[in-house]
Amino acid sequence: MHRRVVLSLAFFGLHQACGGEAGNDPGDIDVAVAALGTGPERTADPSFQPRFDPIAPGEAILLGTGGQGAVYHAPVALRVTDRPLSDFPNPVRIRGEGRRNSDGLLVARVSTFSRLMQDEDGLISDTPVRVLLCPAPIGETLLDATIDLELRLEDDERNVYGRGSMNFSILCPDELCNELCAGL
Amino acid sequence: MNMPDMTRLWVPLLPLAAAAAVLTPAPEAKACGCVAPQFPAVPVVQAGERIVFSQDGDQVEAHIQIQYEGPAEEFGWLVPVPDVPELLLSSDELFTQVTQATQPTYRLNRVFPDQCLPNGGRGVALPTSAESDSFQGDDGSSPLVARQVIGSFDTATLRADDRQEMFDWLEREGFFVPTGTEDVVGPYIKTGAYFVAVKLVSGAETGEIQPLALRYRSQYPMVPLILTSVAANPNMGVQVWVLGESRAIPRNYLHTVINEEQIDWFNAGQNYNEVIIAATNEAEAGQSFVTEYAGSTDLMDQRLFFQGRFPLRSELSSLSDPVEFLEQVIWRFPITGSLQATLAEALPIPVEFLEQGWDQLGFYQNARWLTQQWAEADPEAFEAWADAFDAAATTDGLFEREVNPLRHAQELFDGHDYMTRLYTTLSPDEMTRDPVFAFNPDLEDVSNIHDAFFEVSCDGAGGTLQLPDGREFRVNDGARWVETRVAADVPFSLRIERLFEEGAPTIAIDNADRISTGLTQTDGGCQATRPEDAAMLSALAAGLLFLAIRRRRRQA
Repeated sequence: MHRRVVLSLAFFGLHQACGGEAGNDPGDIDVAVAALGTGPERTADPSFQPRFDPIAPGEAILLGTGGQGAVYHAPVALRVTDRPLSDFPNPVRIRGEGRRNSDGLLVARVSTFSRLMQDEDGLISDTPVRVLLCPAPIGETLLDATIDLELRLEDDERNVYGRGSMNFSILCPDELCNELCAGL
Repeated sequence: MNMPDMTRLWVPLLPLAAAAAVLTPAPEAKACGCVAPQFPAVPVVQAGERIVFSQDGDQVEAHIQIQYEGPAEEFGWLVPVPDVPELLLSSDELFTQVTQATQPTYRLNRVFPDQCLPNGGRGVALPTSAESDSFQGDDGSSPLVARQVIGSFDTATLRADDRQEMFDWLEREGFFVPTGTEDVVGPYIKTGAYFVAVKLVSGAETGEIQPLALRYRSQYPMVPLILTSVAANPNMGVQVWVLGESRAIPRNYLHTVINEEQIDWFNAGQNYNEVIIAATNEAEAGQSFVTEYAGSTDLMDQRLFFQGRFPLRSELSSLSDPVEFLEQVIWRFPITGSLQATLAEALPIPVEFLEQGWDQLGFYQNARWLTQQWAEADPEAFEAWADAFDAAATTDGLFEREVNPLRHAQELFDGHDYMTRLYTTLSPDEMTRDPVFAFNPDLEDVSNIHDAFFEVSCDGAGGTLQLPDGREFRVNDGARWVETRVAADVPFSLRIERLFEEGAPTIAIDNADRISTGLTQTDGGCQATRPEDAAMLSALAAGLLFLAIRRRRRQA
């Protein structure tokens, strides 16, 4: 199967190939390329600093457990370089889909808001996007699977301002997570 | 800790009473045969837990109906949430109305063939199969994040990162936790998660308990059933409505389509809940939901709030006559425990009437006549009755607890195009995973209206039952229908599916070759065929037809 280069590579056609939900034609908007990676989840600690941690293709992401009850998510951070903050709605709506690479099974839908902020290397999300993965879809396993994720930066009218994709595998923090990600 | 068992976690103590009965409208009449009056066709459904979810992006709003029976001081409720939630009062009427609007309805339309009737008549046509298949805190060591009194509830939002710290706090503050909770709370104890703990404010009665709504950030609606297992009854109903952009699916539970042959069509589908219990138990671990309705939210238009439903706030608050105030409220507001509590505080029933056996509601409903009698008999005592009455403050209370929740609930339905009603029954040992709900825009609508037709035999000896899927059965005694289905030993589920966030369902168990396929002969009850019998009979019929054709050709 096609393995996509992870960071900073976003392709308009990829979205179509994944059969994802298309945003509007970007029109005159110069669609930015967003790098996807991971980062620390926001805490109530006032000294909290958001961070963008790049990951290598297929690298494992440790799932977060901050959700309600027995649910686990991948904390996905965004980075956009060479673009000013004023190029984006802020907060920006993040939409996207995660698919199991082996068969294209839709395993996650994302629809949330994120606030972009300036750091030394560009713009980063002030808190990672929580991509809920486990429990896995009924009867399906996400363990040892590669997940292709595409995220789009949109406004309320679904105009696309940026696009990013990555692939990764998952790492569970506990046994319950393993059970839920195995589709048990 | 020695905690009383009477408190409840997320879960109600007793199952809901019977769903409100709704007489369904008569079907459209067509010029063939005639239709007899239908049975009231709404099955009784007992749901132990009812939740209305709405999903907007990463915002979930959950309206939860709390059912509790026991002493007020022992009421406690603990709900895990992924984020610090906003708490709102909700309304029992929301559940009454949405239940009625989406209630699965099993209608048996009796059809009398024209030739049976002396004057012909109006009726409904037996449909073709195609036609019938329609459709915030304390110091750093405290887990307390927020504390709020809302309605009759004293609520606390607690960090869920330390189990013992949380339980110690709850005990210290007098929040009751059911025995066994500590054993199942594990999956919900984590950094970044929260619990909402609820108890009644001092002096409040259990009758004042009303639904609560929680609004929080989450990608998916979820029911914390593992916690519920502590206080659940066997085969407890779990009923969920999900408002969103498209049809909701259980992400990590199976999905069951019932075999409608098992429905007691001749008794208004009164065995519906038993069918659901049996059908969902045919799924692995009994973990499966049935979609009872999926479609437009239009059927909730103006059901909860509309212009003119309630008196204007300014008019009500300006009424100085307590009797006039009562009349406006009693006849225009839904009668709820919280409403009676608000009125009781403002206009308590006089002791004289209590001694005569009047209850609060009876007194309010007859206030004009009773107070006139009282004023004549004992003018001085009567004059003191409403001294504490403050129309403006009482109006504020009524709007906060009764009107605003309904207005908000109506806005929820108005703000979403699509609604899905899902139902299952689960016993405590089956509550091993929390159902998470997602959406699939590719799935079809599901109607809550199910029409079968019964063509009565001219000789009065039974007739032919046609199910919504087109299968036909010869039935001599409708009262024995369920009995014959039990004897036939056919599955309660037509199929068990996996639903995903896009595309068509995949089949986990297909019972198509195990259900009865249709009519063959008549006897004391009814008779239907298994597929293998049907195949043999079809072959026989084809053979006979072949012979008949040959004979005609020869004759020709």
